[in-house]
Amino acid sequence: MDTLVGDEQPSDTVETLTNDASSDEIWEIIDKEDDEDLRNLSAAVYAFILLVIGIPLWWRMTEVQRHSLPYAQISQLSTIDVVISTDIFVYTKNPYVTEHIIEQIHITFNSTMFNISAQPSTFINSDDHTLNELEMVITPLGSLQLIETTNVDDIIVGIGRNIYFPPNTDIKLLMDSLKRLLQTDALSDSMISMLNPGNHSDDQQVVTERQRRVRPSSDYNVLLTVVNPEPDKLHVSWKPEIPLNRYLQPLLDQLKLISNFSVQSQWLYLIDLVQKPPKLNTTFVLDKNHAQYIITPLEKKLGSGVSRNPCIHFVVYVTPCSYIPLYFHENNQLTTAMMSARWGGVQFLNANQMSCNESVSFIPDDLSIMTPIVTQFHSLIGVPNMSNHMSLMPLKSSTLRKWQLDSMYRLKIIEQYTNTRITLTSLSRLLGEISNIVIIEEVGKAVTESVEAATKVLQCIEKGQLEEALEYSKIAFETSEFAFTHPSLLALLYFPDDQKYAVYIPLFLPVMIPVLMSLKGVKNWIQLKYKI
Amino acid sequence: MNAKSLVFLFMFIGHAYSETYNEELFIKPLATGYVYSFFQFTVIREDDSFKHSTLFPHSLGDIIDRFYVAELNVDLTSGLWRHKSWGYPAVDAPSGAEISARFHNDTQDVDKNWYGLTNALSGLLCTSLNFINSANSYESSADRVYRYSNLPRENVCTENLTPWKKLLPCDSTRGLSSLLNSGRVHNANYHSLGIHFRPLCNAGKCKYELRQTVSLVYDSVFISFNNKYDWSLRKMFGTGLFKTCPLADYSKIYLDTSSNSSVPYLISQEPDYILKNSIAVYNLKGIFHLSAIVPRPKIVVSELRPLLYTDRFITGFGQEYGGLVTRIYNDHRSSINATVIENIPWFLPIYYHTLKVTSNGVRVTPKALIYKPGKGRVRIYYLEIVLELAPRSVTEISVQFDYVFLKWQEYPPDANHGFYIGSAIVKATIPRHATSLTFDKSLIIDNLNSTGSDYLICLKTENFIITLPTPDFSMPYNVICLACTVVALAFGPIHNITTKRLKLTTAKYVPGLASVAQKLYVWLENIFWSKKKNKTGKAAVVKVFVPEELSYHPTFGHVSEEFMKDKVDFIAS
Repeated sequence: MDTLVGDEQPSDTVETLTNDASSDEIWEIIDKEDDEDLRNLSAAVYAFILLVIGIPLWWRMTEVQRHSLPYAQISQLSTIDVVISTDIFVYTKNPYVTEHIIEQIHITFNSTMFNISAQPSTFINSDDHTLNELEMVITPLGSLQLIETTNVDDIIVGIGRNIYFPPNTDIKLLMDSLKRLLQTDALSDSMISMLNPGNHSDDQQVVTERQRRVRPSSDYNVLLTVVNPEPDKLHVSWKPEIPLNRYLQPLLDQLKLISNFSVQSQWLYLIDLVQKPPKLNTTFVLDKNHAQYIITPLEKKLGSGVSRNPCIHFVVYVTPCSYIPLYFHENNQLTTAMMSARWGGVQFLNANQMSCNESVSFIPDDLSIMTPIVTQFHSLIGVPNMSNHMSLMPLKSSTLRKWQLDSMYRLKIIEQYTNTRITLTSLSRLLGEISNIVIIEEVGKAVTESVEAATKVLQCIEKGQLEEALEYSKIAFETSEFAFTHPSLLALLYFPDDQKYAVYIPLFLPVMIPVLMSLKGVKNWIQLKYKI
Repeated sequence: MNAKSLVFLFMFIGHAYSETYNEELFIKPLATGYVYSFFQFTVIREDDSFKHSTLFPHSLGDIIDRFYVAELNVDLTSGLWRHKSWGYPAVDAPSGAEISARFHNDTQDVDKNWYGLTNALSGLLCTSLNFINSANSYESSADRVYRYSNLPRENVCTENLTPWKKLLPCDSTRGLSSLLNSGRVHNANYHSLGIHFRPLCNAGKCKYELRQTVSLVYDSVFISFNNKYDWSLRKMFGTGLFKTCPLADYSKIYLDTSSNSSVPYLISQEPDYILKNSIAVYNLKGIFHLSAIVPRPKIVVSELRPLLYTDRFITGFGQEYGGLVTRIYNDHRSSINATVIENIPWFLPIYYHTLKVTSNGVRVTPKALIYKPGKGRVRIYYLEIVLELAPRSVTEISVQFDYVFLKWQEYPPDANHGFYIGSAIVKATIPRHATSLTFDKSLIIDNLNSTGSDYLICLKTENFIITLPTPDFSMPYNVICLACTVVALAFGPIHNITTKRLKLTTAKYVPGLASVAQKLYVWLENIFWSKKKNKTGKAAVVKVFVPEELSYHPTFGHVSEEFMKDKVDFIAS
């Protein structure tokens, strides 16, 4: 068969070839009539529609939706220094001493983030007044008042915003106290450690205090759990809500500008100590490092409920009858309470042996349970503890001293602002690195709002408006967290670009080849038409 | 100050007993050789704020508080309760997960709280209640703040039992809950976990009751190993009772001996007292064991059928003309009023005009009928029918439906397994003596003693599976490829016709296969040689033919005459 075909066909072609050769003139005529212009124009239009309109349109339509973000402002945030303005009023009997103290204050706080405007106080003669009367003096929010008085022997910090010092106090000592009260170290430490993890202040106490604090949030749950491992042997009659309302609630009301606290309590039963505490003399002792053996089995049953807010746990563990009295052992000291950093506290409630044996219910003392809880709560939320460094006036309730509250405000502002800054910076970096992340309008708006609030924080704090700054820092923190954790960011993360091409190449490849090939002809035609 | 502390002390004592806890177990040997055991753990509190609790589970209280829940029922069931042979259960629950909740009347956004609640519960109980959305839940026709949903596909297993047990004050360490070992529980023919929270108001004073229930049905032949019908606590639960829960006011076991008249059996323990001549009551104090020796083999007692029971099935063939039939059997000698609620998912659109209600084959008109048509992907088809069931009759409700094509992303994993359709609900008031356990009051003991003529029961019908037309899931990509190919195939010729023109010309030199091969060969050789001879190569050897010198070959194209001759010679030879 093959040979036959091979034989026949050449003869045909030869025939046509001869025909063609004879009709050259006809073809020339046809060539002249050719609509070459039209054909080339249509090829050009094809190319125009596909390449100039089609591809950019396709590109635009398959693009990941991205709402514009204020990248410039975000990067600008990290270049602005935080400046906290504070007033310090100084009162001494001698105007020269006053001047000297003011000068010293300016020198001392020159290189910190504080911008102190120290000024002589317009205050009446302090020696005529007792300390209680002096306490009545109202100093504005965020500021401090140094008062020289003969009523004290040493530097004493009041319940308001006053610091009392006796005449002839060493000015260096006074400056040290001021530095501590304004928490210059703690503020810069919390900022440095957040911005550059690993770096921290040289002061060990500042670092431990920071590490104890619970993570920043605008809402917290406080859950008091009473554990009675032997409800059959020991009946404890205690209602946690009454002492909680009495001792903790005033403090929480005072902190309501900082965050909302929701206080709850529960009872758990029949949870045994995992580790048997050894007996020392007449007491049972558990090493503080073994506290995890109590916390871990408890943790499964504590249950922080349905909210996403961090929960501060306080556990009151009623000691089983066979281990009374039980204490924690720390640095050769016996305590009933122990704190776990960022989590909460555990304390043992030792019942008296009497109620163990008899059917008398054990009524614990509210104050002895609540005292460690309030102290631990202070450490967990970051209330400055100065009792090691200076003498403080004793408090009459569980609420904070005014200067402590000011410090808390400053700390929270710095913490929340720094957190916002980090979140926004990493968000903008993340978006720069991963092109598949969707930014919907809601997220875009939240970011813008957050940046604006963060800028306002800086402005307010520079003017010394602590409450406004706190409010803005809260807004900035919340919106930046909202934007960063928005689920829509992840919507297209698992749809890689190669899939996009895999879907469209079966269409584009066969369509593009003739169009691109025709471009050469179009180019020749244009050259021919317009150049010659 | 003194007076104040006195007030405190008073509050103290008053509060100390605001929560009570009780444990109860109700055992009933069923006629066909099965043993039904119903556990109930009840916490009653007087306070409706759940911030502080002593016995009430804090995690559940937090959920109830946060989502403004006034009433909540969650049932997680595996297996089917056979009404015809087992009678009525204490809590009737369809297979899978079922949840209903009533929110406080002043709740603003009920839906938001409903989805919040289901999500929170799915986390608490490790269930897939988070799949509840508007397309599988309904609000009651009369009640704005009531929501109901069921997930028939839900698998109930140990991961649900463990968190459920954590809600109990004594966990599983003491008391009746120590009988609930997951290995044994999930061996049962039927098991159902329940959480039931409701307010009990009397003359303006409300108590809040949380009942945690477990229903288990064991086949006594299967558990006794010796092919007899003996059963005992140890055989059923794998363990005896050692310690009672110290937090419970009392722990009791009730044994229904009413079937003793037909199948007499021996019980190992003398009961503390007998209630209503048929229920043996045991007060638990310490170690306890209970076993029964059932001498005679199983007899099928067909006359023990309950007064009212249901049947449900689908009709039709292939994937056309589907029909849904619900039958309600009334064996009572007087008529019974019943409400039937059908909730049919949106992917099973029903034809309302085909709705037919017949009683013993005669068409009847329902007393009332509420129909809310469904909406694709948004709302279920809700059908509520109020009927008067004639004495000793079979009432049949039938309606036809269509099978729907879903979008490809709407198919669940393993789509060929089929789609579950949840149960219908039948509510009816029947005489109290015909029911099993009633729940007017919190505790079983009070309910056993309670009197009253009628009781509202709630029956759940069977679930069923239907097969919707299921596509091949690689289809989308195939469709894209096919469509693209068609477009490309069409585009090529159109482009050619509009931009090119076929015309005859004199034969010019067209490089054929042979010359291309030759060129390629030379080119390769060149490259090969150029490495040694620095591009001098053999390029000069190529002989270039003028077109006139060439002749045409159909396969090789234009070839030299010499080649043509060789070929022809070769073929000729």
